[in-house]
Amino acid sequence: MDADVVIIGAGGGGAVAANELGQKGIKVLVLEAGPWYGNKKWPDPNADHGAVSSSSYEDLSIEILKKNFTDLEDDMNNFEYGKFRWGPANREKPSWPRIQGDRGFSWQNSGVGGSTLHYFANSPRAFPEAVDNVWPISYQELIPYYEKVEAALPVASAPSTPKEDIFYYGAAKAGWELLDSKDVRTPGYRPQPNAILRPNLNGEGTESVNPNLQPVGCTLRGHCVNGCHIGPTVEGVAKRSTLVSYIPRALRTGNVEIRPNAFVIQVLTDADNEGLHAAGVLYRDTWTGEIVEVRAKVVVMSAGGVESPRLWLNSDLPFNEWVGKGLINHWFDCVSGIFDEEVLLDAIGIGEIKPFVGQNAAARFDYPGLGVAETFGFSPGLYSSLLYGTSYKGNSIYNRVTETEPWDVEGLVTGEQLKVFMKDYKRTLSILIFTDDQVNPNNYVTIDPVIKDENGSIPVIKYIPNKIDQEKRNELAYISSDILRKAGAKIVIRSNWPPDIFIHIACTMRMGYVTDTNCEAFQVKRLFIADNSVLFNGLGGPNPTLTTQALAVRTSEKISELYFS
Amino acid sequence: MENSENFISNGKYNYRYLRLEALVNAMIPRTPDLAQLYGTNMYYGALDFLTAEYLTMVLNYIKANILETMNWEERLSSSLIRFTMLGYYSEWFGYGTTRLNNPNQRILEFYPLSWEQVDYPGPAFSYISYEKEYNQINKEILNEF
Ligand SMILES: Cc1cc2nc3c(=O)[nH]c(=O)nc-3n(C[C@H](O)[C@H](O)[C@H](O)COP(=O)(O)OP(=O)(O)OC[C@H]3O[C@@H](n4cnc5c(N)ncnc54)[C@H](O)[C@@H]3O)c2cc1C
Repeated sequence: MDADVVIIGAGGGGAVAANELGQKGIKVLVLEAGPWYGNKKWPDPNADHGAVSSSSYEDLSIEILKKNFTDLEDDMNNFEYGKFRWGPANREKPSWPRIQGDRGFSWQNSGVGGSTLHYFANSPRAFPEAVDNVWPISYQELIPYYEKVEAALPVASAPSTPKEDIFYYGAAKAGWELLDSKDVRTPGYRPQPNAILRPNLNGEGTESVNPNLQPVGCTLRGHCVNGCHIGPTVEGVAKRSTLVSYIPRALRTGNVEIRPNAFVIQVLTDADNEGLHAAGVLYRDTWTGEIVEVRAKVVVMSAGGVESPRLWLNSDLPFNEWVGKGLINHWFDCVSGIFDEEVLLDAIGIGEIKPFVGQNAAARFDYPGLGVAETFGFSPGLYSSLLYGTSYKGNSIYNRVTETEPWDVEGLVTGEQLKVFMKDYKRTLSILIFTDDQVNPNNYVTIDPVIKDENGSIPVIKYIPNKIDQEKRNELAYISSDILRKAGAKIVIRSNWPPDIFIHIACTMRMGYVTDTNCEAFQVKRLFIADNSVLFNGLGGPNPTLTTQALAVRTSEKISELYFS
Repeated sequence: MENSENFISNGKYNYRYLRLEALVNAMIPRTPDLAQLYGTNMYYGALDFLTAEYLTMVLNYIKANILETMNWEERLSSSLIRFTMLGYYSEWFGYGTTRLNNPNQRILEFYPLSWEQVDYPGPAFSYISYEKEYNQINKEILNEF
């Protein structure tokens, strides 16, 4: 045995499981396909193989993290060769291929921390009505686990900067209620519950504050998506990706070893009187190509909503018609408003919104039954490409907006118009919409019958929303436009994103269908799932990670009770 | 990966490169009208900031990733628009003489002029002075409703 438990993937869910199991004295080996940023054993993680593994808290280095995370969006976020991409650590190699709808992309990344490296850290709970009498477990049962993760990350109410101020102003004027509970049962708006350490510079800080100050807590500099490195130590970094929250804690238990650059290509099983059960994995070193076998008593899949079903299928595990099926992605949309300076001055006392200031998505609107709308903003490259360069409605110059539609422009914005709109970048407020889309077996992740990369048959992702999803999303676009109008926007732009933009990827290995309520696979004992794929549904629209993390805590308890007590 | 493949080795003016230039020029053109209204920096467009080179580089990555059997032309049509904007409005042009190097070997030599066009100051250490609390906003701004 190489470990008691092998965890596949050190992202949103896997890192939590590693810590929880390590805390119980269980020996854990985490295999992560991507690089490890901010660790002395990998001073240059994109250029050199570095060490094989690290199991020491002392290896973490904030100096290296600050060197790795450059705040620059092409360097950090370019989908093909950025440090946050779905690909190997070595940036001389191409990204890993996936087949999906033509207009979209799946925005995930490899690396210790997984897709939480670039996430906004928004950590709301599921809507209770989406869980109670729907999931095989109750909302009540989730609450203690939510509380545990909320305390551990920790989750707090986001501070406000002009982009949130103007959103609150519009939402209040549009007549919506301020929500004050974590358990959302009625529509309304609220400061984002997020996993970002509260600012503690008490307003003394300015743009030119001495960077040697090493503040603890967010400085509102707006680089959440590019990889936060603000803090005195790795564990003290403001945005609580699992790289800086659960991983350091896991290492401190002394029971957790993590190997980056290790792509698991097969789950190994044994059959005995217990029946079919997991026995280990094979992984491929992403630098050398060497295949390594690892044996363990329990295997946890935390490879994310696409790779967990892919790995099941590539491992030839028993047929289950629900493996990969039921994919939700909250079919996002984006609605933006451009404001005049005087209007902003009047409303919030400052003439600019500055999308690059403040936490990337710090105010939200929740509507159980429909979904979510949240503000967002960041630096101009990603911003323009998402606002103006992403649509399935074609070019806006060919789209006639009807009188009943509350926006002025719909679709791609290019040419001189793009430059005119981007000139008002600093007075633009954007709202992201997450639809409460329904689980549907026709939406799925599977493997291509022919095409393989070095890690096996490649994933195929298919997602086509239905009419009800479409109606809900439209309604959210109307509400968002109304909030922008009430706030005083002079121009409202609806991007109308294609369905195949994958940011919240979930429900492809659902509890109750692929796993039991302990998140153990029905057909393969000792094989557990702890990532977005095990979610029963899309939670009603809320961002999924907190719920995945709460479940990962619960699953770790079950693993310990079932196999290590 | 050889980033400069295809437009250095084959010369800048091969057919594919010209097509990409036409595309980026349509997406983000030179705008003399805007220059008259708002100042000369608004004149420049994607041809000036070499966004077609950026696309070529990104395409080489995508091509290397996409296996022979995949229909990559089709997959790319919409990504090209997104990448055009990312190339133009991100820091990329500011890598100057190192812009076509392997991404690990680029150095930001200057801030791109596109940032001036949108009045983006570049990364800052802190914007803490903007901080407010929701309660404060509630008092200052929202009490009228
Ligand atoms: C821009 C952006 C912003 C977001 N903001 C938010 C937010 O504010 N709140 C929120 O809740 N969600 C947010 N999300 C979504 C969030 O990133 C995911 O919900 C979360 O990371 C999912 O966790 P996971 O464990 O399922 O997968 P991941 O975090 O993707 O982790 C999977 C890990 O497994 C590794 N892996 C995969 N396959 C293998 C293999 N075969 N072998 C070894 N390792 C493997 C991957 O490299 C990765 O590290 C955002 C996403 C994006 C793109």
